[in-house]
Amino acid sequence: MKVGFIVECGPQGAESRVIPHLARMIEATLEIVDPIPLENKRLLKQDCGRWAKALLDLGCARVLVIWDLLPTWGEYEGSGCRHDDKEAIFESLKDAGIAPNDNRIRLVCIEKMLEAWLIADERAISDLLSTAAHRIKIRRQKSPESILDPKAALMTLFGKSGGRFRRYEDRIHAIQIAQKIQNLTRLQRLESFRRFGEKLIR
Amino acid sequence: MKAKTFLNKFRLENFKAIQKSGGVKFTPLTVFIGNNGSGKSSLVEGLETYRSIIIDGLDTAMQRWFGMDHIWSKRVRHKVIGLGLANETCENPILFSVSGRTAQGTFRASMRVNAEPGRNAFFIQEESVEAPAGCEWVRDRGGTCFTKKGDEKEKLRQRFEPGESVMPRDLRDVIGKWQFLSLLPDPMGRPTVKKMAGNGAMVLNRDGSNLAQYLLNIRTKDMAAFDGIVEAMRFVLDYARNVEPVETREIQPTMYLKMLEQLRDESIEIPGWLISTGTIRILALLAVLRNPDPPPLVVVEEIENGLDPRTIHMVLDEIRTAVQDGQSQVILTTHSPYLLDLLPLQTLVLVERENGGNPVFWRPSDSEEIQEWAKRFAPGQLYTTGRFKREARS
Repeated sequence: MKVGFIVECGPQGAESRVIPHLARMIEATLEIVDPIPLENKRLLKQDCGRWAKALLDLGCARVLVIWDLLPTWGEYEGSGCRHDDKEAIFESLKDAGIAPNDNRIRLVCIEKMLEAWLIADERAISDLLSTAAHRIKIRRQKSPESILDPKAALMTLFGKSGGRFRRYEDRIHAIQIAQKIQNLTRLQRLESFRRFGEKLIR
Repeated sequence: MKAKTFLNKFRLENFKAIQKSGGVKFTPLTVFIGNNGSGKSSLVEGLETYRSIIIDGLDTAMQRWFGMDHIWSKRVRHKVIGLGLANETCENPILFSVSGRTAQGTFRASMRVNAEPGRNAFFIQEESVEAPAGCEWVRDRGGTCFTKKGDEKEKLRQRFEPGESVMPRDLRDVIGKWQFLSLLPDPMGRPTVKKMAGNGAMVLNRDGSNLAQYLLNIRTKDMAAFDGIVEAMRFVLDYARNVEPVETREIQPTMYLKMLEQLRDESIEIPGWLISTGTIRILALLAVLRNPDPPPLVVVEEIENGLDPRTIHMVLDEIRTAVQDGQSQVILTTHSPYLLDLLPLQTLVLVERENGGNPVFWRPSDSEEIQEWAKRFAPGQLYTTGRFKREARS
């Protein structure tokens, strides 16, 4: 099955690398078109319709529009509202001539941001931060989706780890953590990740 | 959220294009936009000149402009006023007025700079500083300075030179760390004379010409921070292996950068003057934004110059980290609609000439009409389609 992703990040940003990686972990046979990175949530909401249309025209059986609930500049843009986001995305799809009930388009809002998925698997983070001589223990987070700022939480973990990782940088480290995930049991506990899996394959 | 505003407000009068700026308020990230010649740079240069007067003295600060006459606003008259040689001054002196915050609390300072009637000499006409501790310094034209704390007023025994600021040491140290950049790739790549005696924190020159020594300073202080800069560089240039500040010892020590690149199985050295212009600019920006002793204020002119979209994104991530961690306040000027699309509307300040005259500074986010537009279009699109109209303000 050919699948397209429209994500909220810059060129070669974290989402454009992590989402396809996780999608392949869920279903290895997927044929994934290079994700369309639409810079930020505002541009994603504004332009996703045209891009979704283009991906459908390209033969994608599914197009997943994936965004973070929290805006990048929270201090200016508030804490995010899934309902408003979806309304704006439907509007963009409508403008592009895609019906709101078109089953090929699937929306996934990550609660609250991609880092919540990464932080769910403490083993992967530990594997990345540890060296052969020094094992870094990371405490398991019971509900990563309730962490106010998962990126800041990852920053703290990286900062405390010492050694070669001074701070978490999504464009570099998000995919490195994702590649350390052995299986999806931890991530499957997260509602937004389960939703991602269902919308991807069902 | 730990974002901080170290500089709250700046007022500038009679400096270059600006007759009266009004109080320009700053947020943790402030981005000036406007047409060429609108007066964006005048404001930034005014702030930089104020810093230079405080740190280097009035004479040195004016050397950059080849004298005060060239930056003294031509839009107003500077008629000689006052009676008696000792009191004669000119109308409409240059005014710098700032308010901000340090770890100790808030401060306010203002300074008027004027010239002798024959314009042969210039001097600080008056200066006042309200320091965080509640102490106030006030100086007059003659260089006499009084300090006030509560009801106590005391005359300092020291008489200040005509171009010497009375700014107290702790505030001077903070303002001295303000970082202004309009990075020029050419001087950044070339070997430059090494500065042998440092005073206070090291600041990257406006043109970035001491980049090699600046990076060496970071490497000496914090190897992990230096490695972080190199790692971030590798995101831009995946074939870059390392960056090394190199010191030469001929007649006088000079410094330049060299970059190590991986070419098949061997490592090749690229001297600074051959590094691509965008690469060396991004290196300078990373060095400033990841300095373990971060500048409280970073001002970058036309930040997008020479950077590809992916790198602009990366620089903006770096800026966001610096701002949201509360380590630096950032002020940018830009002409790039692409960059604007990535920014919140609330960070933008539009600069435009009022009837072709005095530049005015205003925030598009204050307009309800523009806020409505912003729900459907990104700031760069609103800017290029002329939606940022001051008349549209409600």
